[in-house]
Amino acid sequence: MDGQSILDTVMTLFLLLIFAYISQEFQIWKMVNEIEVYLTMYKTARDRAVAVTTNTFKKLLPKSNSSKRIELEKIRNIEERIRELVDFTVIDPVDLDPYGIVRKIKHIIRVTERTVENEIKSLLPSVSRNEIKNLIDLVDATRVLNFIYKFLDHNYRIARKFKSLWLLMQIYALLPFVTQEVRALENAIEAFNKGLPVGDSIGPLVASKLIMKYDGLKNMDVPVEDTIVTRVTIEGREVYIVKAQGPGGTTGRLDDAIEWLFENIGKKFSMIITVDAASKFEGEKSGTIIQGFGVAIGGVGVERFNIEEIASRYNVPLYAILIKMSEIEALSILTKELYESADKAVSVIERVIKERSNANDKIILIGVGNTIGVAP
Amino acid sequence: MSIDERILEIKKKWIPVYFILLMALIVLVLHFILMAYFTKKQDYVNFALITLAAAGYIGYNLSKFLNTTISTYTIVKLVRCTNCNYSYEDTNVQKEDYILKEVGECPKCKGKTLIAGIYRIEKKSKPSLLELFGLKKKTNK
Repeated sequence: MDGQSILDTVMTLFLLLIFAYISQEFQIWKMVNEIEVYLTMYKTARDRAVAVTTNTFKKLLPKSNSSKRIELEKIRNIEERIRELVDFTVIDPVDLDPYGIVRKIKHIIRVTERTVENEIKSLLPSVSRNEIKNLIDLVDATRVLNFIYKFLDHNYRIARKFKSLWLLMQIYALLPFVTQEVRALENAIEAFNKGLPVGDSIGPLVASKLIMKYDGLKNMDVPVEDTIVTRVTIEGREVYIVKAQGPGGTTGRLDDAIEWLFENIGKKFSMIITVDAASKFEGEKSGTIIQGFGVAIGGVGVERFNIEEIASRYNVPLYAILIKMSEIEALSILTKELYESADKAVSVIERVIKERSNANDKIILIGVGNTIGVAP
Repeated sequence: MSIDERILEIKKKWIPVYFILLMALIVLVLHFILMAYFTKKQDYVNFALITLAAAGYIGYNLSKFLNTTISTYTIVKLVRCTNCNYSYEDTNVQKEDYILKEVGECPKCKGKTLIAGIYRIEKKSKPSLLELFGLKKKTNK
């Protein structure tokens, strides 16, 4: 091998290395650019949500004859309190010893709910309970948008600081999913602001349709906070319908209501049916109804755990009716397609009751979800 | 402005760049074809093919930009009479409206009417070429 060919080989290897380096740098540059664009969009979405929330609060401020200075002071106070509400965090209980953790989570959730409600009530004392519930949902959606932006921004800054290609790639890979969530929350802001039913309200909507169809309004009771229980007769069976109390935006306290039913009505229920919205796969059609076994309740899992606990204690079969929709649809104003699927769900429930129980049986039906815009 | 509209805004900025690039590449392809025809050199055919592939790629991306659709929707309430079941859709949805709210009398039988449903009807719209090139502002119908 002569000197010239060695030099050629070295040069080729050097050029290859240069190209590999440039290619990686180009890839980083492209990813950084795209992540920055998306981060800007998430920030805009967050800022817009904060602005909508603040404006809604300002509009609901009681009119007074006080001076302009005091009015401005009040508005500043509102802005500051909303910033605090949007920034607050919930600390999960320690799970080193998981025994009794569900009780602890429930306690923390209840304290959070009560505190936020009281905070909003103290800011807007003259506003109705339903509107307070909608405002809580609005603040919640804004908080999630704020968290998403802050979390991604933090990770992006760390990745840039340490020039970590792998961290950037992870953020980049997450962008489609995060964008879907931000889209859903943006739509939720509009729905919560106007107090209109969202996709997730389909469970309470089905329950409401059954209550109206079988004239259940006259037997309605509110045994636990934010939750109604009513008795109707379907195909000769005694059906207890449980749902969050609308039309304010709340998911109710369904597990407490079920406990109340077992304590006050009796232990002999032939089945518990839950109706809820479920995430669809990309290829699936929105509004498709599927049946399942178990308790169809999303969220942290406290209510699901408690209902499963009661059902297994008294050996009650658990059936679920699920209405498929995308994450965006679940948080956006209800679509016509989904609204029409509620009627289909009602007939599926009637069939399930007829086929899986006998006359004079007692049945519990739970309409799961946020009951915003859906009475009773 | 929703996130979809913001994505469209960002995409819109690139449309003129892609369009100019596509035109330049087409001119270049024609030039190489003519050169190959008159000089009978194989090199020009190769150049023309490579440039054509690049033009195809740019054209494909441009067509994707131009086919971007934006979803718009109308919120509707379905009002139904509890007596005669007569129902109609109303686009005048108020902030205080909710399902099962009483909304007056039935125009047919004077019975009680309730809001039986509130939902949105979606419509996919494609921005016009003028809107995409930023020559005309979007009109809210």
